[in-house]
Amino acid sequence: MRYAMAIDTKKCVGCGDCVVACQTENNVPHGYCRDWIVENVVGSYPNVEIELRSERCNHCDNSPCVRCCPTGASHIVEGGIVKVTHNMCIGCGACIQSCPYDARYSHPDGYVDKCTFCDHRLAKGQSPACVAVCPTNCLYFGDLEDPNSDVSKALKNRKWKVLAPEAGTKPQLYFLT
Amino acid sequence: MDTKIVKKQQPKYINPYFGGILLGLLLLAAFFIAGRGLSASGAVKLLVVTVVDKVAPAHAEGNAYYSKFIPADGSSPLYNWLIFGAIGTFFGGMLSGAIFGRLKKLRVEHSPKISARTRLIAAGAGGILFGIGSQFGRGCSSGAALSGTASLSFGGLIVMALMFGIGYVFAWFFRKLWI
Amino acid sequence: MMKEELFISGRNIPNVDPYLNIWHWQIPIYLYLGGLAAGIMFFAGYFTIMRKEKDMETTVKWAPFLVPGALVVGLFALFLDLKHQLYFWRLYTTIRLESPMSWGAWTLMLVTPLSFIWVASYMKELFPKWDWKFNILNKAEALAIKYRKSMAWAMMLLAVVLGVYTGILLSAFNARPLWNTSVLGILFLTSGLSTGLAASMWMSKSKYERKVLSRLDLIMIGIELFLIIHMLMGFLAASEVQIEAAHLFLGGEFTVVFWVFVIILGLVFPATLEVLELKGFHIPVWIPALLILIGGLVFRFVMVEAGQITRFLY
Repeated sequence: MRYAMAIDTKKCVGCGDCVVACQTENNVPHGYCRDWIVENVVGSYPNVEIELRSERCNHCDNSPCVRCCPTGASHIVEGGIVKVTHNMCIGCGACIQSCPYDARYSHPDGYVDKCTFCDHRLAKGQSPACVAVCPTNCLYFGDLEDPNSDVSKALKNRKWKVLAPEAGTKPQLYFLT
Repeated sequence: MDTKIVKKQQPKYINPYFGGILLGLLLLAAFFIAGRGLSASGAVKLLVVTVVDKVAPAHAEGNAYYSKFIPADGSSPLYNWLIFGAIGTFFGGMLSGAIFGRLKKLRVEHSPKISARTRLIAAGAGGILFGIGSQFGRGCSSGAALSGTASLSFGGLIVMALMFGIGYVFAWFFRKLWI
Repeated sequence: MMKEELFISGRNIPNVDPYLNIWHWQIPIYLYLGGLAAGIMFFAGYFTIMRKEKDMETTVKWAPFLVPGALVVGLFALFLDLKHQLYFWRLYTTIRLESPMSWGAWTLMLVTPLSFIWVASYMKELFPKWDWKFNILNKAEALAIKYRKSMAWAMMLLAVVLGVYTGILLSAFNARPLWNTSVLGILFLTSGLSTGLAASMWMSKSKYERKVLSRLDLIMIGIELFLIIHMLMGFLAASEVQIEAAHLFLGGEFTVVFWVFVIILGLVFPATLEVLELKGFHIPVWIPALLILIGGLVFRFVMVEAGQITRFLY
């Protein structure tokens, strides 16, 4: 079981529904977000290209945040999801420093928080909040090891890229280009 | 154990005329490197502006004198060539004093006829007057006299002439502080 | 045609955007005091093993008095930085070999009591009126004095681990390109040793001891300058993110602070003064010592702040 997500950058319109849905679903404190939109503009007028990405924690295979946690609060659960045990986290900030994607933030309650692929919804057989709510259906989620899952099918037929592959983290967020 | 004789030297001072020429060349280098001249009172002024800005930022912004030296981009007023010049002068002087035997125990130098306390009070009073004067005259002995006359500023010439002239006149009244 | 790439995002997470700034003054203070303590302990242990306690009295007996205080203050600063402070004890429920922070927590757990014991073992010798009041403490003191040589070895070893850890803590975060260099471990160790020597030198009243420490310090400063130059050269020869990180010190916002306060006033100028002192010119010892101590502190501050600004993306 290896959960992953694919974001179709050709279909993402940057509406931010995924951001708000996640904040609502996970009680994210005001001013913080677990996923965000990045608008990447290349070139200058009239030869401009825009890529819209909905980004979040990449739940990396070789996650530096899990490796550097001194208490073991950052850990990997079934499916490759990276999670933080709140009452083991001391708030040292090492994991925040080690994430090349700046996906983690320091929750006002003291512990470190980030996207969890809505594993509480996955346990009930639902998809993550952002995936469920996306109006253009540009987010594909599922088990990479299952050839019939949404994400496997999306990756089979399209060109994709990951962010900062040179960081060596083996991220599991694939951007279909 | 070590038996090398520690060099106890007579304090050496440079020939004042030669020193003057070197100082002039240094000023030329300052204009060339930094695009502006030297000014010790300028460095002190920037320090004052920084302190006022920290303690009472609203007052500093509103005041025509202080606000000119507070950079718009939020960086400290101390981020200025004058400050680093002053730091360099301090350590350069220390190095020169060390090599030529002028660096001795920390002490207040004064005429044997007065006490160290008198000297310090006089220095403080003189410093205050000099500070006020330098800001009115837009420069001190290095700012107006040296750099000002180097750029042939008429104001600088007047400041220099009066600074040393008035000093000459009043020297007799304060001779007891020195001899 | 102008080549331009823009990244626009509405994200504005506190302490993360626009630049990561989650670690503030507490971490540089902690790294500095850790390095200073490591430096003092290393040479206290070294000269004990070399049987030079009589000649290097300050280094072996007096300077270590600074260590327990430095470590406690440093650990307190670290504690203040934690955001979930009630759970700090979790650090000591597990050893995670892949996490330098875990290494550090445990090393400090060993080093701090050891430094207290070292200082305690010399209390009666330095303060003849000192009385432990309890017989068990007297017995413990006798034990400590008996095993001084073993303690010295342990102190040297742990001091090296501590010094290297202060650097590796940063260099393990490969997401911050400025820190992602293996030079940082040994650089911070050398800097720590140098500040330890400076502190011992300042406290010492013996001309011979000051000379020995001064010579050692010159070697340390030389190594430090070499490592800094090579660190920058390494960055300039690495990937784009590291070239940009190096440019923070070569024309970027940290250029002036780094070159003036860390390199010139913190390393080169004190080294010059120490050379002059060794050649016979009289330099008050507090000047190079103070400059080296301040230079080390500014170096830590600059590295922590600049490192958080560098990133892989955007």
